[in-house]
Amino acid sequence: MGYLAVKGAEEAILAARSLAGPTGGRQAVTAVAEHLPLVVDEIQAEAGVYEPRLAAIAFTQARGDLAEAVFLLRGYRSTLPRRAAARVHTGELEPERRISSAFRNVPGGQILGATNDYGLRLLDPELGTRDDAVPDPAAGGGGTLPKVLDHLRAEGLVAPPTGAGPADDITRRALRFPATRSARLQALARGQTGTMTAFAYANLRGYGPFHPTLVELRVGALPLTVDHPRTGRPVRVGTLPVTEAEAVGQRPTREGGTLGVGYGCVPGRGERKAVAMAVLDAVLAGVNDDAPFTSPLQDEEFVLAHVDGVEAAGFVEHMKLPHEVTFASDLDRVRAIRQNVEGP
Amino acid sequence: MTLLSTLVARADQRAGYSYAFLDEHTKRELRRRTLKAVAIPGHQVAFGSREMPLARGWGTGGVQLTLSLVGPGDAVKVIDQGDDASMNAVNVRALVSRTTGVRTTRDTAEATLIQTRHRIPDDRLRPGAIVVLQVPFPEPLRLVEPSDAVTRRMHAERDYAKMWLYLYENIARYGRIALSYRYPCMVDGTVLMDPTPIPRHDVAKLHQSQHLHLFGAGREQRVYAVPPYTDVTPLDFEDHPFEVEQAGAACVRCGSDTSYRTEIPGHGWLCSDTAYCDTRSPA
Repeated sequence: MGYLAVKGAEEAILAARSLAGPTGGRQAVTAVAEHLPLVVDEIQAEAGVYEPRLAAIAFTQARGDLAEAVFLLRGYRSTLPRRAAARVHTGELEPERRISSAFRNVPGGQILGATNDYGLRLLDPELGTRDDAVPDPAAGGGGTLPKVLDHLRAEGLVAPPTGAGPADDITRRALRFPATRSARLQALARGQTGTMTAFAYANLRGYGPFHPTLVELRVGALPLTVDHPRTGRPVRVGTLPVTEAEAVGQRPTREGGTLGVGYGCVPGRGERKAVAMAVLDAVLAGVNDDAPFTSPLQDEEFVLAHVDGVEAAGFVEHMKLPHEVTFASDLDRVRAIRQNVEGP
Repeated sequence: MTLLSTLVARADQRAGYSYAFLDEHTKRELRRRTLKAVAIPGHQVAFGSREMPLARGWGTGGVQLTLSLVGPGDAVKVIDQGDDASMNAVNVRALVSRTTGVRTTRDTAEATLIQTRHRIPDDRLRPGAIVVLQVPFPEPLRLVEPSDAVTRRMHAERDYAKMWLYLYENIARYGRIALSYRYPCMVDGTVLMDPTPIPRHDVAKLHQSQHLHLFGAGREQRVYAVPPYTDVTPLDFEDHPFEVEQAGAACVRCGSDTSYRTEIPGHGWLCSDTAYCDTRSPA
């Protein structure tokens, strides 16, 4: 009788869970952590927790279900207190990779770093026959570099950054609309990579106004500073690897057009998501907004309320929960209306 | 048959891969689609675009066209932003060269087949050379209408009022047409065409050109063409004529003030067509 049986439900649930239990243990977790750093980064970014070992455990426990792994890590996050807000200045990031699509060359140069972007993407069937290689230790940056955006700011083509007040935290206060910029950026930074990519793609392809230019994409370690709780003095507490993207597009006006900026920054290595975030931020800020049609992608509620992977996966999958009460109510109306239409 | 046996012999050299990567049936089908595109200048013809070992959106349409056309006697040139050494150009050239063994060249005057992204060379092309452009957006009306079903009907009815209105509203709002690259053009006075994200500077090169220009959109699965000696006219108004880009200075390397130049922060302006600049610069 499946889950309808009143008696035996608990035993059935336990049996089902044991069938779906993880088989991976220490070796699997170590292999994920060492050889699949990109999935580990994706999980951490969407969970809003940076702890690679826990992300590798979550992925193994979820048997490779990415959404489930993010969900496990998010749940774990609920058990942690928020100690302090760290301050960062992204100018202090030491890039191990840094490219600009806006100019052929930029001060400091194009630094390709680790990327497969410019190689042929041929499946390598031999890979399955080779021994694991020892991963290289993460390449350190070679010092800070000037921001490409500053070149455009110097000419007055891009507005200077506005002073940031205290940032909202949507994990402590509900996301409300209209959202502040900090809430928008936080929602996007935690967004599901696939959703963000699809939204950004739909915008670029035609259901939106914006085809920006990627002024700069950076990958590197970002120093974090917090104020000492007793002395109040700033203390450097560590670094966070991030991917940062800055995109610009026309913001024409009769009075003097400028360039509008979209900003993306995600923990770890997540170039696709960082670029998508920059595109979506720019669209929501109204850059290039002269399309003679409206698109849901210009509506911050549509975008921000649906980018969260944990919420989306949870609610779509809740369709599997019992619904016999509400379905009976549905059937009551269907039968009544049918009778009414057909006559007695 | 000689040609076919050459192709088969070459295919054998690359274990497991056909000559020019795609199978012969796919290439033949794509050439048929291309012939239809040539027969209806500017009209977008659908084709069954294949997955290529490049990311979608990185030139898969252009590369499928190039691979469907390239023969053992060709000299292939690949540029991105006008630059033979640009990373994406290097990658596309490697794919063509590895899967065909044909000669590649940076010399515009020598190339018989030129695949390009975002530029048309500033130098004169060799007679009979074919230019293949990579296309992100085959649909010029996408700027004003997101739906493909609707834009197809608009093309069928030659209903370009929305685009004209968009340009008019640009002028009313900003005093200028704000479109930068991807400037919509009428082909042969009948079909509205997206010339790809070439700068406005390059649009004139399509008009009454001696060369066949082919446009391949892999992700969007469309091919279109401007045959030689075809009118290509950018949309404009009598009192707001079409404007091309103005560079900030002559090329700091070769001194050209007619080529398309881009800025390098801290260094000034340089020709984007590196082969053109090389021929004019002392070694």
